[in-house]
Amino acid sequence: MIFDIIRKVPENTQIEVKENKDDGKVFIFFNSSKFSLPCLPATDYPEIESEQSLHAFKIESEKLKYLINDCKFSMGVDESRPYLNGVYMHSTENEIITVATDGHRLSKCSVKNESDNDGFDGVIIPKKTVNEMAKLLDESDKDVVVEISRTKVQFTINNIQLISKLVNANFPDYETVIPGNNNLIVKCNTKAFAETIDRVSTISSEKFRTVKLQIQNNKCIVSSFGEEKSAGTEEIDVIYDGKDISINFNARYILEVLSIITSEKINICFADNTAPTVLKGDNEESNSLYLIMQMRA
Amino acid sequence: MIALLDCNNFYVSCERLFNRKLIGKPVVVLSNNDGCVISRSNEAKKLGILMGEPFFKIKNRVKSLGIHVYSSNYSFYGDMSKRVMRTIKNYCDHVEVYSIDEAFINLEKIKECEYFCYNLKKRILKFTGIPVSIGISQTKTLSKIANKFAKDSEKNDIKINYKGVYKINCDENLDSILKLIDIRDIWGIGKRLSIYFKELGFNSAFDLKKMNQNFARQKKGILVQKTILELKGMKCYEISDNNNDKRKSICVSRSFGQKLTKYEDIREALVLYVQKASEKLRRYNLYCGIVNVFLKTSNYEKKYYKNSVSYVFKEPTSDSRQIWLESDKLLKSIYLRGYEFNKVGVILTDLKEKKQIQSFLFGNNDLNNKKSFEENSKLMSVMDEINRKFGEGKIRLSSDSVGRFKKAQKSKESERKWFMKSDFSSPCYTTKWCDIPFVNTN
Repeated sequence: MIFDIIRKVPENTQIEVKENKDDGKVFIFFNSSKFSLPCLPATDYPEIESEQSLHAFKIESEKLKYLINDCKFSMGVDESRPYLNGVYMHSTENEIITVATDGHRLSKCSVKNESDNDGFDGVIIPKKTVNEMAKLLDESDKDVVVEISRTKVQFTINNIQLISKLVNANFPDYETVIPGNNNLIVKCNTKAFAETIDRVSTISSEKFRTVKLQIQNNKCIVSSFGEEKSAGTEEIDVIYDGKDISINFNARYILEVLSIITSEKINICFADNTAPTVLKGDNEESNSLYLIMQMRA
Repeated sequence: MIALLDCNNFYVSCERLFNRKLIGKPVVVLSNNDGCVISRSNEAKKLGILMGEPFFKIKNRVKSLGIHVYSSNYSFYGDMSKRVMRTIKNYCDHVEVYSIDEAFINLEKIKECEYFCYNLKKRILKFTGIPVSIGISQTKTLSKIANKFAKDSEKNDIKINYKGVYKINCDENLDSILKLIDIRDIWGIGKRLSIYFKELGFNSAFDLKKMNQNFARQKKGILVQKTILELKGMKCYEISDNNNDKRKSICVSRSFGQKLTKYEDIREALVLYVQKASEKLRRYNLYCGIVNVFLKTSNYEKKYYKNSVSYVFKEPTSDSRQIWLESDKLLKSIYLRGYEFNKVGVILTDLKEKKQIQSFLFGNNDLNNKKSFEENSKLMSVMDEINRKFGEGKIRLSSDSVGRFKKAQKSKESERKWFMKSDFSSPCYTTKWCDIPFVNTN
């Protein structure tokens, strides 16, 4: 409530806050307005137990913003699998890496590790903290100090400290599911591909907006089917002359990846078997990698 | 035009098929565990036996009134239902099987609806022995009402052209017909809604038809508004092609014949229910994303307990083994010692078709591999096929030591505590080789 009151105060207005300890109330004064709110003793506020920091590093806000924003859309929402409901952050000697997955798709982003430490073991930052941090990073361009302890993570940005518990679970071994030999590489225009999928998937009324991709001879036919035998099809030019590919995807998963990728062209790497499909921007600097599992035909 | 075909006193009619002595006699069929009366012959109705009446209340009267009592025999009724539906489908292209004894029929291409339905009724009686009534009108709701008149024409003193068939036209006579129908008897208006509307002064179907539909929608939702429109002759519910589309969950649950305290006994019952539910899932070509197991004591138990717990599969499945593996763990997590349980059940939800299955990235489940997904599906369908051909439970999970809900007739096997009570069961005349009746040719 206090947030809503302050939000509605006219700009450049002096606000005065007074506490009356006797009757447990706090008063807010500005201009001719007066609000009284019940309050609780400050001593009741839970103390955040301090923990010894195990790893600390400084990172440019732009880099952290990239690590979080280009990854977080793949976080899970299923309460029965809490270990997927967050962003997994870890580092090696050379890189700081974030990974998010809901079990059906996966995003991985990395930046160069410029700190002195040798890297740290992975931690899972909860979904709420990730979203709050993304908001804070939108409003700041200062460096961020990240401190990781046994059960908590602390971000210090300007004069704001965001302390959060970590998800107490093991993140799945994501590296084993990143396929190494997806040799069927299709190259296409990112924007045109996204627009085509968006248009065609409109027809699908299911919760999972299934789109079918049939790729052969530098052409990709995108099709979708809806209720009462309705159907939509569109053909798009691609660069590909390998063996024919026919695969189904959840359109939302592809569209979310395409909205993140900034390069003009995208490489979609398929495998012969049912291994996940890899999507990558077509520029060498890109450190992002996206996996999407197909839908059963 | 839409027709609603309803089998007359279906379960009783089934029992009378192979036991001709029952014709003209009062007969009742009881629910699972011989709990309540769920089907009554007209003679039993005349004796004042109520629908849903607990059996223990009428137990003493049964003998003195000469009422014949039967435990429910669903495999027999289900088979007879299939025969009735097959007969309808032989003569009608567009049929929606609505329940075990009801079907909606699209009569759009039929010119003489009443005559056609009368002939259909005669054919069903000839081919299956089951008497049916048919109501015809422009909407499903009105055809339901018409069916009621087809059955009770004499009681309502209504003139009908063909016995057992009644047609409601949306003309000037409609209102007078609707005035005869209590609001509670309208399809889609249950007990609670009828109490609410009666308090507002809406007592008959005619009153509901006259109700402001926007008011109805605002107060009780779009379904009531649709019912009002249907009473006015505007079709809101089409005859569905595929009943699977609407299937949102599959539940298999039974009350135990006796109260159970031992975990092993409850587990023995649950494994059977899980297999039944999974087999049903596969019959509809569906896969479940969530399995829920519940366990409860009787509501009247002093030491009352009820709990349910769910598991979300990484990838939807219809594999009995996988569903049982998780159900077993779920049961273990909610079972408590010292309680007398009377019911366990499994509910499969988040049902999906194969094309809606999103593969999972992680996990060691071999279903993640497309080849084994197909192989497992094939294995399950072979199992179902064998069980269909040679009888239920012929191939089952190794945890299932019984393979059926109740003691088989003429079987020497020991009685399980959780077996359903069925003290008055008739033979499965049409579904078991050993129960096929003998015909005396002398």
